[in-house]
Amino acid sequence: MASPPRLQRLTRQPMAAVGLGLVVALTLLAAVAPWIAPYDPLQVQLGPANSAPGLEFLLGTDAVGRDCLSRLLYGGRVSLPIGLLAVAVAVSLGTAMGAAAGFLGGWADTLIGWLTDLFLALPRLVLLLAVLAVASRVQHGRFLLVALVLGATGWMPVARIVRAQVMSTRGRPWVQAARGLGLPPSRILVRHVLPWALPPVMVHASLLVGTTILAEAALSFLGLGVPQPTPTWGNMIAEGMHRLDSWWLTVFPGLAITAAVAGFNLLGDGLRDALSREEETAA
Amino acid sequence: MIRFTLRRLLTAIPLAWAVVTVSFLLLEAAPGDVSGVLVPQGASPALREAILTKWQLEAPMVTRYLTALGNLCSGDLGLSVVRERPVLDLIREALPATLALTGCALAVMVLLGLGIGSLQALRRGSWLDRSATITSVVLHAVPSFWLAMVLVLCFALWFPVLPASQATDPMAAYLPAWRQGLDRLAHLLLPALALGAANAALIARHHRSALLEVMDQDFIRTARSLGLGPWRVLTRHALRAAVLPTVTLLGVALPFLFSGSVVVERVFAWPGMGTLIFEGIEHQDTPVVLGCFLVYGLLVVVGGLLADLAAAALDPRIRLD
Repeated sequence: MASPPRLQRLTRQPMAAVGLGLVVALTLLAAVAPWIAPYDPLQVQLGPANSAPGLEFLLGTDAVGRDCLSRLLYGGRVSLPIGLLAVAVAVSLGTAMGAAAGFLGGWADTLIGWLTDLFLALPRLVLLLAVLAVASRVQHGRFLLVALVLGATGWMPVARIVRAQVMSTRGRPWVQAARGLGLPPSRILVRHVLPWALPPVMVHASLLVGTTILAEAALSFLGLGVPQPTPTWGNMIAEGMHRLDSWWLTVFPGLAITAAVAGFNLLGDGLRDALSREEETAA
Repeated sequence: MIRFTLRRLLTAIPLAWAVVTVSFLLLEAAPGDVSGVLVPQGASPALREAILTKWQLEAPMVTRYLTALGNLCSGDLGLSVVRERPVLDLIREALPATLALTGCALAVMVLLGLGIGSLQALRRGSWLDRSATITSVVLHAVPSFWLAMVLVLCFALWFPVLPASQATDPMAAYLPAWRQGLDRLAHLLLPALALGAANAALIARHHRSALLEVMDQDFIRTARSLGLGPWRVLTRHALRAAVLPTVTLLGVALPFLFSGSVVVERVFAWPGMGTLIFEGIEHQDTPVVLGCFLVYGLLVVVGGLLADLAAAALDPRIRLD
């Protein structure tokens, strides 16, 4: 293929480049947080409580005198990995469901279609609320639990995409040839059908990271995510709710969430454009 | 069309059953139980026994499940264990507040989304188009509860022009009717804006590209060549064709809107379904949670149905069967 490499095609679109930049920057900041954070994020009474942003505490301090900048940096170490892990779960689950529905057809398709509709019919947050409230006593491994639950409630669009792709691919000549060669169905599915579903799933996964970070933030905000004192962007906003006059408690974590979500959304849009252009040039 | 409506509503029945069963099992799996809330500390064994029997707390799980199902089928949502009031009454009080909030948010979504999207499509490539594109990327990424707090910060704290919590003023009952209406509207404004803004961005984006596509088509060129002004071409011909995907999108966006309303209601202490279900979950008030789940599920089904019917009304090519 004579077309330029994919990454280059992606960064050539200004919006996608901004998205990629945001994602990389925030990931790096979260990764090196222990080295660049000015203070210990859990240390109380570092300075006066509720002091406004200034030279000593760049983003101010919270009600018990913790440094907001350090907490913000460390918050990325919870919010971002939970988002990514949850999407990994959602994509795996959705791919399995969609592949089963599209490849097996018949009652499996009916059942999975019904399950998909069921999960889509409930507002996701309400479902999350119920599951996490039930598991409210689970304090150890809360991180994993939240990621799993977010993944388990986010797989439906992926399943739909994969199902549609599998249905359109399974009648293609190379699949029939593979059948004719007597390859086992599982091998046909994995080697000759599923790879065709990868591009749209990648696009959707990137967009899904955005919505998942938002959902995690909402859960943290409601007090059902990773609990205090571990900082997450969502529970930092919750802390600011009753002290709105200390606006810095609320504003900065929200900006961090917005930047992360916008980054992943722009990246997803860019991927979609890059891939659709590739299809155009291939056709 | 009537047959279509009936069939769609019929599909809601297995859905409702699954919703109830799943949420019942979830609540069963919850550690601890409501008896801790109901039985006062230091109650005599006899009193304890009486309370537990009254609320069927010691019956086997299957019995309670079947009772719950049977009651739901006859339209009886049971009593709230914590508030000792019929769940139906609680929902009846909370539902209008949530419907008003989501309804207004929907209006914000549609008006802002269609308005901005149309402007962008008409002035394609201008600074207005570009800045609106960037704004909608940002708005789409903003958590609604955070936007809610920022709005409160701006319009209730720094420039105190609008109320920041509850659905009405505590003194509203003493005001004349028209002032009461105004008071309700003022209370609705910030929550509806917070809830609708993110989705308005989504709609603006879709509408912009839909309108651009329509504007390229033959019938628009014909309308233009007939000498119709741009405004008339837009409102009479282009919008009607371009608005269809948006209507379908509204049906899809509804569950997200209800999700968002749970958090936004919390920020504004809004006395709606979100607050009701949140408190129900907190206190393990099974009947309340089951009832709310059911109502949310029904709202989504009915909303999707309405969106489909509206799409069919707008486009005679769509056949409902």
